[in-house]
Amino acid sequence: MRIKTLIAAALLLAPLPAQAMEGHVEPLFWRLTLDQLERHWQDGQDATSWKLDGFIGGDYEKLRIKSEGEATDGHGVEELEIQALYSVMVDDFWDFQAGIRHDFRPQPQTSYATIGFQGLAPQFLEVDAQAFLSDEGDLTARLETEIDLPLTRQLILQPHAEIDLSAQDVPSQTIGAGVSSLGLGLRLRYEIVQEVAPYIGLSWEKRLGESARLSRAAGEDPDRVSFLAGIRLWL
Amino acid sequence: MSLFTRGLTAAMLLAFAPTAQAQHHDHANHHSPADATAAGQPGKADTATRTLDVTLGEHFIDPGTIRVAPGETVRFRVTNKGEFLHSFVIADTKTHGDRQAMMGMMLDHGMITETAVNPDQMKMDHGDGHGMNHDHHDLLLVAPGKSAELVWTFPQGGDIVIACDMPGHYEAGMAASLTITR
Amino acid sequence: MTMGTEGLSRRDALRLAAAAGMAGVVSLYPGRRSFASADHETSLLVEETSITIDGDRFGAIAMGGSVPAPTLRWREGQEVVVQVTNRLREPTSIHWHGLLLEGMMDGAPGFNAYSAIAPGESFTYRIRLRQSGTYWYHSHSGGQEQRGMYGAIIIDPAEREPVRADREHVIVLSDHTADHPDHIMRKLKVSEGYYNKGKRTLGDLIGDIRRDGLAKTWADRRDWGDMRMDPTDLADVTGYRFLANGKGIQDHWTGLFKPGERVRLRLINASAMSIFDVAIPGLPMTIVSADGQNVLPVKVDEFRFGVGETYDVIVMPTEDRAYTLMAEPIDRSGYARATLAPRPGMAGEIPPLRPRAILTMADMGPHHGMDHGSMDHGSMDHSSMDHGAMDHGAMDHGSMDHAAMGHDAPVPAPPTRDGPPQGWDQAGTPPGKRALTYADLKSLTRNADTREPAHEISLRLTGIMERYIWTLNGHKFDHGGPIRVNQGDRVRLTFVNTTMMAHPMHLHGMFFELENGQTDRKPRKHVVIVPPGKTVSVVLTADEPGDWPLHCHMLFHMNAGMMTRFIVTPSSATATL
Repeated sequence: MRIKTLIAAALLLAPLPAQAMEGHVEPLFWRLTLDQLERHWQDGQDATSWKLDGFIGGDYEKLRIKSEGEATDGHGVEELEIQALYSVMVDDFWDFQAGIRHDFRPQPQTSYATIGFQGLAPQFLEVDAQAFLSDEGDLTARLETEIDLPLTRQLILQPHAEIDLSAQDVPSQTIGAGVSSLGLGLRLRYEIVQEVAPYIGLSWEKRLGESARLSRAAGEDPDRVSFLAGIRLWL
Repeated sequence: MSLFTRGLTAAMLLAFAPTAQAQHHDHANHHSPADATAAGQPGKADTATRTLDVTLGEHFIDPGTIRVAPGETVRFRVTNKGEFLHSFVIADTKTHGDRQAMMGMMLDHGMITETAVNPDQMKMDHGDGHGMNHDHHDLLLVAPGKSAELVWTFPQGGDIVIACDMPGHYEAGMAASLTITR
Repeated sequence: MTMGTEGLSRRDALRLAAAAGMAGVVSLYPGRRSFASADHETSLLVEETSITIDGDRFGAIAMGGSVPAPTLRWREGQEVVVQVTNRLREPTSIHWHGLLLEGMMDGAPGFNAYSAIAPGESFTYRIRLRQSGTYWYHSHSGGQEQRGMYGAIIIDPAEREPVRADREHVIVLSDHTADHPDHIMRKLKVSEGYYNKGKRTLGDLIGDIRRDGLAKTWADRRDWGDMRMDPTDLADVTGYRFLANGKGIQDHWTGLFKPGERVRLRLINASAMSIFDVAIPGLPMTIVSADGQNVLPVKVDEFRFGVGETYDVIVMPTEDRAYTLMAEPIDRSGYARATLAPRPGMAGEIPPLRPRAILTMADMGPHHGMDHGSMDHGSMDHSSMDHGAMDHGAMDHGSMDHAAMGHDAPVPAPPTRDGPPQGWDQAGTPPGKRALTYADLKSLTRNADTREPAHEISLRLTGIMERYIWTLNGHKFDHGGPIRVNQGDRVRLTFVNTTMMAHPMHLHGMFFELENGQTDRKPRKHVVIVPPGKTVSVVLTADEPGDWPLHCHMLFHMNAGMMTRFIVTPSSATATL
């Protein structure tokens, strides 16, 4: 009787890691979002740009890839940036991210170490805030926010704002210290299904202060307004 | 009156028990024609041809099938062996519906609970037209563990059901089928 | 005794269990039947199949050859044996939902030393039936339950059946979709609100401003926005076909009756994710049993049906016509339909779908960091209350008691205004009709143990909708510690729902006694719905030693982590160890 009880007790009390995890293995999830693939029509050179976001991981930790770039007609790819980040949940709505960024364009190529926060602020504002330290020792930051406003179930208006900051002048990239540029966008997308949504929109970019001066010196227009049309996809 | 010393409940149920009518100031006469329904009328104990023991419980009336002769007077000795308050009602289907509604009202007003009769409430006039109706002589309330009696004279025929009309009990199957046959 | 638990195989565990007298006679060799001295024997093959719903084919998993699986009819006191053979390419399991049994036979992988049944293998369950009533069985592995692994269990009582019916029908409600459960889980994880087709739009905004005025609409939008939550989130997953006994709304399953008969319907909500409002227009229902346990009969017109719950109801159709049993999921994304008719081939009227309720700040409860702390959830009169313009300071909270909490009656909604019914519990009950509330449930038998609990356990139901992480006390399954009590302990479990979803909480191996205002007739339940923002408490006597799952019965909530271990340490073990 005593033996039986002991066995029963052992069965009940012993931790059973193999069994415990059975059917409840921490699963990995992934998603690849082509957030923007769009054509810009503007004064001067028309352009094509894209923005990509992908992750793989569990609930709390993820590996995250971000990329964006732009190709101007007649000049080929002028901007191409890729980030690889480790992302960890620090709050119900926020992830802390750290990793590397490499800009393949413009030339010469630049590498950065980066940290930042990505998440959902009150009132459903999607926020991505990052700081970058380049291999030249230059410190810059980027703050992006956007929100989805459903007009109907399938028609969604998405305002977007971006602000770029720099701690110092980076003449090679036509960046001046302080607020270097502001960007506003408004995209109206139609979700055929959630994964596939063509859109049209407007965007406005303005370089400020020293950045504007450097741009003009480089023969670029520091103000840029464009009509755009594109498609948003995710898998 | 001796019939009513059997159980507290039965004693409290002067209003319901037909043999109590003689005690009741409102009803000078035994078994006025108003007491008669399509299902028969209260009978005099001394005219009963037999006594039938009936058991109530959750949710049954035992025996589940009762045969009587046309015009027969039967003395029902009803014992509640369940844990809840039950009733014993001889009526047609429509009257059962009325009784169920009435007992639902009594529950809502606290005159009865699911397990007992509330003696204070039973004497109260609720002043809203929902006071005790003293004319339901086909209805016997029996508290858990108690017994009560009902003497009933059946008609020559008809569609009669014996059931408990506490809300939900009839639906749960607390009914006995009654056959009037020679 | 020392034991390498890492490598403990199911067979080892079985052998040990058998030696310990826990499991009785078991089959040690897959494929070999060991039915020694059983009163009832059944074999169930688990295999891939396809089913046809209203003309469309869907992939499914069958147990015993059908979806739903065959109804198992047993008698209290019997020893039953069920041999389950897995013909799937993945491990499977069968859990006997609501049955009192040895832990090893409970069928939840990872608990009680039970492991899932590997592909090609068999497992023999042996259960001594200690109860009667309507229960069910289903897979406890991954998302298999949603793919068709569910069926009814009916156990006839050894003594007199307290309900006498002329005939009875089992009605198993479920939800089926072409989407594989793994695929659904991924969508939920990577795309918040993927399945919510009812998000508020500009049109809704204009409508709300017209109806409620700009200030109120603004305040309402601001409150939801602060929480980053969506008041239209009533269900996580949509796109389901709702089934009654495996039949869709066109094929509609039909149960026959003769007018005047007492018909007992044994209803089982075997759906993965769908809480239903159930009604049979024109036919009142008398509830006689909840979760297999007899209750004092209560006559209602409708009831809200949590995932995993069972109700037995009596209907007495007197007319020679067909009736429609309607089961509408609370997000009103469709309905399940069954027909009760005097003859085959008839169809009852189908009432229009009821409006979908919208959640209010009251549904968020006092747990969201916003100042809603002083609302009285227990006794407020919803019909007379203006939710939108609620005065967050004025309501009396101090007088709230346990018994009244969380069981507020789904009082008839005020459908007078243009907008949807306001509040989770607003079922859109027609005026003059009565909906069951938990407070109506009274056990037909007295509770055996009426001791005050010595052990108070608070379990916050938590989650992050945005990430689709569901947790208990903030921990995913096996990330937090288990609940430990000693055999014989009287325990109170208080569920505090801090989320905006309802959670039907299910305990294996033991019944909860729901604290619904009853003293010695608390209804015994194996699932209790904890509405959004509400608190519901249960008590129980921990008289079944074992390592029992305690989880939300929403399939994807459980699989996303909303589960814990409820460990009852045997009293003899505490004495000897």
